[in-house]
Amino acid sequence: MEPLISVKNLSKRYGSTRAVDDVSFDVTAGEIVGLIGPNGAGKSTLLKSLLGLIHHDGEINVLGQSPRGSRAALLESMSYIADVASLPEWISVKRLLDVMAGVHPNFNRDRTLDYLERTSVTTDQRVRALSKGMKTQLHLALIMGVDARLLVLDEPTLGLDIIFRTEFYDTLANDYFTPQRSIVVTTHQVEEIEQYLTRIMFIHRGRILFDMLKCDIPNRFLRLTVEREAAQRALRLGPIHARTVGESEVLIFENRAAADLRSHGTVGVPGIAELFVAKVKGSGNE
Amino acid sequence: MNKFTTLVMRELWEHQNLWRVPLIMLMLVVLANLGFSGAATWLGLAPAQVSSQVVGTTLGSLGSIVFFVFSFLVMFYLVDCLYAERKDKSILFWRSLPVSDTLAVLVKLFVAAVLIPIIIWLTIVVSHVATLAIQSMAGEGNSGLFGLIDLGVYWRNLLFILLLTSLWTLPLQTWFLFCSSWAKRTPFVAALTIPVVIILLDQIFSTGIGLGGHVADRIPFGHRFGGGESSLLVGLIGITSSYARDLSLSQFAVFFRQPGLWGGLAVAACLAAITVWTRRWRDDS
Repeated sequence: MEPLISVKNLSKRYGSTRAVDDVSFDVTAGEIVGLIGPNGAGKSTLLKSLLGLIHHDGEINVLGQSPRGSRAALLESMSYIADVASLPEWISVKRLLDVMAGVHPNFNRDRTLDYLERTSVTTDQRVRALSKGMKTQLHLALIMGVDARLLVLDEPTLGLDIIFRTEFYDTLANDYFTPQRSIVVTTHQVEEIEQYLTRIMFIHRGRILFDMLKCDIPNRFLRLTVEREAAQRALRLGPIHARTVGESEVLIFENRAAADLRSHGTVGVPGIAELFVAKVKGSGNE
Repeated sequence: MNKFTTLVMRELWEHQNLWRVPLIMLMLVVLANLGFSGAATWLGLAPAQVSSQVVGTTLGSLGSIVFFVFSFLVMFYLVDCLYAERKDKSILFWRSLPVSDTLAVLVKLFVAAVLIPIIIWLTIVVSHVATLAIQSMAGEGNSGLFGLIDLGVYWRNLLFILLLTSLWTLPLQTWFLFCSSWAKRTPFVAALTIPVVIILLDQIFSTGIGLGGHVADRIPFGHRFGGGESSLLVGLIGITSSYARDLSLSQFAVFFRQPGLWGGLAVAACLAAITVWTRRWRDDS
């Protein structure tokens, strides 16, 4: 299957800083990819390149087109939320739907209205009068109305409370996502979106440090929790990262059989956040 | 609605002054006429003395006032239209729609250069009708006010002149638009300060750029500030004396043969292209 996104040797410099450094990857339909990294890791620069918003080196192909050359055409089949707080304040919901219907060939007003009915947003309200949570719902409703194959989200829920954040991702995963579609989302709040992702990419200092299907993680990474006194013995097994949590030592192992570890302590699958820390610190690249 | 129409409507929804101000002006015209109904009598003119010249001057003055107010309105619109979306971050949303930056900028220029002149024209025509109707009804024997000048010709000339004026001032319009897309903050100050500084330096060091003269040529009443002959076309001053004359083809030919027009349009095209480029590649985040 042809990938929806294909990136080859992408680099972007700002002065002497390499914001993105020789990055290559593909995204195919049916994936929900989490692009995870701390602030300043290069996530937004990478997304801006995908959207054709900035000059860059290397080759990018999104839905069969070069985003730099055909940004407007590309956005007919790709939706994008940079920030849920970016809807124009002066416009009314009805007018906003008029604008969408007028400029977007793949927009279906009824689908958006269906979703809005589940919320407390009404079409005669102005965006200015909506709470931040309601603006998120409205933005999401617009996205629901667009028949796009690819949805790109750049830290979309920054500054939202947990109820709306959960609702936002639940709706995307349950009502929006299909095997024909793909979602790419950047965040530095890993725990929040972990459960929705099918694939995890860590980006650090402009480079992809880790790229794996979420379902493969338990086969490759294990977490061993041991008493501090027993830590020395476990450390000899070669964890990629170890840290002290209260009275315990938490060790992350890569390519180790669970059977080798069980005699030392409690074995489990590491969460994305601790895997991220392990990979960043373990890379000697912190 | 297609993309273009939708985007034009969006400008009218966002910049409500573009239709609110003319409505307020029309209300004022009606109120003023009701207050001074029987103006001819009040001026001490017998009905028979109300000549086509009096009517022409009155209608011309109304037109000048509307045009004067709109000169500011269009300037504020152009300076604001690309800056406002950057200021409130809504540009992130607008740029997520399948609309090219070229189309987005051209729509704004269309509103300023074509739609606003048409709104000015409609405002003037309705204010003329209101004035003549109210004064006709009020003054005994004034019922013939409508027949004193050929309104059809007058209004047609007016529309042409407004559109030609817009062409003539296109370099100024695109300059304001560019400042709106480029200035980090206070685009209005940038739009005015930069030319003023250049003009002053030009004068002090006699560099011979002559920007002052070019600008004076293209602002309303610019002939008072050293603008040349062609500046007379700017503003409605010229029309008041030509209300009854049919504009002939040769007059259009004279207008279109001016090198200043084509030079100005070339400058405008460059500024519009730079504006598109700025909106396309500017990265404020």
